[in-house]
Amino acid sequence: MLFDLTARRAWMLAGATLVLLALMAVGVSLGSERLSLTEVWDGLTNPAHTSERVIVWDLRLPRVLLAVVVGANLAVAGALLQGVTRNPLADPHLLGISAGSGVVGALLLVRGVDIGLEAKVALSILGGLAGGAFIYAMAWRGGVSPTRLTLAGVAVSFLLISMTTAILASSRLFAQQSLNFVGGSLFARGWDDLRAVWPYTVVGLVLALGASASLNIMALGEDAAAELGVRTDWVRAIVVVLAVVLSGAAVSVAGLMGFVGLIIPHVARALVGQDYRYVLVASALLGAILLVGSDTLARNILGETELPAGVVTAGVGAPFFLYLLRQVR
Amino acid sequence: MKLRAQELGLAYGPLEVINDLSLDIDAAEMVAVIGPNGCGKSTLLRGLGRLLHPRTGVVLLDNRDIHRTSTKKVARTLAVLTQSSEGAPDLTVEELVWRGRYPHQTWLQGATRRDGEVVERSIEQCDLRDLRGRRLAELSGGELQRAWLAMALAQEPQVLLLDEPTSFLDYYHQLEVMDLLADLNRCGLTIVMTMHDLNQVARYGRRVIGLRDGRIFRDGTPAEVLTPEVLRQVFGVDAYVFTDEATGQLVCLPYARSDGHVPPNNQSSRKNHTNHGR
Repeated sequence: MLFDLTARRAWMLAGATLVLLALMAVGVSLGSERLSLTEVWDGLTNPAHTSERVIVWDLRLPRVLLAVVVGANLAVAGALLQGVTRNPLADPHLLGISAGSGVVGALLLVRGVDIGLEAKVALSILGGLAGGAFIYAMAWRGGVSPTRLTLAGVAVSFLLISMTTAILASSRLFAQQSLNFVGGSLFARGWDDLRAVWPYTVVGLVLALGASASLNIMALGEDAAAELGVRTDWVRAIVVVLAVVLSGAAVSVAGLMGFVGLIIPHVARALVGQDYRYVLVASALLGAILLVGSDTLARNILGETELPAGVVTAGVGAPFFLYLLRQVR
Repeated sequence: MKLRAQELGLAYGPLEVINDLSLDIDAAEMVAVIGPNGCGKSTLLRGLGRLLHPRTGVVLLDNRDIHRTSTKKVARTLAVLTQSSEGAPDLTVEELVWRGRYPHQTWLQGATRRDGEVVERSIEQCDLRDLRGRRLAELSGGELQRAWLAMALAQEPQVLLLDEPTSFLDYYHQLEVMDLLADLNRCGLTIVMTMHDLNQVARYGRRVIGLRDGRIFRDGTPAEVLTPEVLRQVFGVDAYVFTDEATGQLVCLPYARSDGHVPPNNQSSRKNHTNHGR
C-alpha cells in the first residue's frame, strides 16, 4: 500500500515533467510563424542572427518560460491557501490575496509610469501584502480562524477587484489591454519580465516546501495541529505571506489570471495523494502545464488576434475539473 | 510526569469559564472530570493541554510552564484528544496515525524506523489492523475515535487528556476504549478525561473531580464523589447510588431533577426511595 503510493507519486511527477517539456516544445514551435522541431532546435542552439533565432529565442522561449513560472506560482499559492484555510475553494483571487496586487498593477498600467520591471514586481507584491494585511486585520479576533480569514478575504477581494475594474474603466486604455489585465495574459512579455519574476518563484517554492510538514498537520484541524505542536497562527501567517508573494509576482506580469490556483491543487491531490510535500511539487508542475498549454492556445486559436490566456485557462480547465469531479470517488 | 494547574483562570473573550483553579495530577493517575454541560470541563482540559492560553495562573508539566516550553517538545510528552476531529476526511487511518509522529520528527531527518515501529504498535493497540487503509470519511464514529486515539498514542505521551472519549460509541466500543485506557494507565500513562456516563466514571476512574461553575466542587475517589448529595449539588439531579451485588460496581441512577420536576412514571415511587442510596 505504502509502496504503491510511493511508486505512483514517482510516476506521476516524472510523467508531469515530461508532459510539461513536450508542451513547452510545442509552445515554442507554434505561432503566427509555424516552426518545425528542427527549426526550434536550431533557433535555441545557433546564435547566428536568423529569423528562427529571433522568433524562438527572443519572442517565444521567454514567454513559454514565463508561463511556467506564472502557472507554478499561482498553483502553489492556491495549494498553500487551501492548506491553511482547509477550504477547498481557497484561491489567490477568491481570497483577495492577489487583489491588492491587481490594484497596483492597474494603477501602473493606467498611469503608464515606467519604474522598471524589478520595482514593478516588488510594488505588486507590496500591494498584495497590504491587501493581505487588511484581510488579516479584518479577520483578527484574538487569533485568526480559517473561516473568518476566508470570509474577510472574499469580501476584500470583491472590493479591490471592483476598484481595479473602476481604475481601468475610467482610463483611456484600449479595451484589449484592459481585458488582458483583468482576464490574465502573457501578451508581449519577454526576458526582462522573466528575469524580474523568477527569483520570487524559486524562493517561494523552497520556503513552501519547508512549510509542507506543518501543512500536513494543519490539515487535521486547528486543535489537532496545536496539540501536535504546530504553532498554527505563525504557520498561517507565514504561509499566507508566501502565497501573497507568489501570486503578487504572477499578477505583476500576467494580470489577474484566475482558476489555476483553484483547480490545480485538487488535480494534484487526486494524482499524488494528501502529503503536501508532493502536492506542492505536483501543483507547480501541473500549473505550469495548464498555463503553457493555455497560453499556446490563446496565441494560436484566433489567428490574427490573441485571446487572454486566462480565458483559455478557465475554458479548458473547468470542463476537465468537472470531469475529474465525476471520476474521483 | 506531574501535571499541575496553579490558580488557573480560563476565558473565551469576556466570558470567564474557569476561576482560580488549582489541581495536582501525579504520574500514572487516572482522573475523570465530571460536571454538567457548560461547567467548564472541556475548557479545563483545553487549558491543561495548552490549547487555550490561561488568563491567569499557570499550567506546569513536569514543573515547567507549559506555555514557556516549545510546543513541539510538549507534544512529545502530552497528547490531547478533543471532540472536534473535523479534518482530513481523505486521509487513511495509517496516514493519520503517522501524523502522530510529527513532534518526534525534524524536517531534515524525516521518518525513522522507530517511527514506523511506534505507528505499528499504536495501530495494533487500537485494533485497527483491518482498517489501516480505510479513509477517515468511511469510518463509523467508534472506528474514527479509535483512529484518533491511535494517533495520540503514536506521540508516545506520558500524559493523555481526552474530552469525552466514549461519547458517540455503542456499549461494546465504549468498554473497548475504556479497557484500553485502563490498560495504558496500568502501564504508567497518566490519563485525565472528561466524562458524562457516571457509571463508567465509577468503574474506570480512580480519582473523580466534580466541577461546578468553573470550580472544583469535590475531588476524591469515586465513592467519595459519586454520592446523592454531590450529584444533587453538581448536576441538580436526585439519584440512587448503590453497589451492584453481581459486579461489585458502584451504580448511579438519576431519577428526577432536584428542582422538583418528576418524570410522570416516577411519581408514585419517589417518596419511598428518596435517599435510599447506599
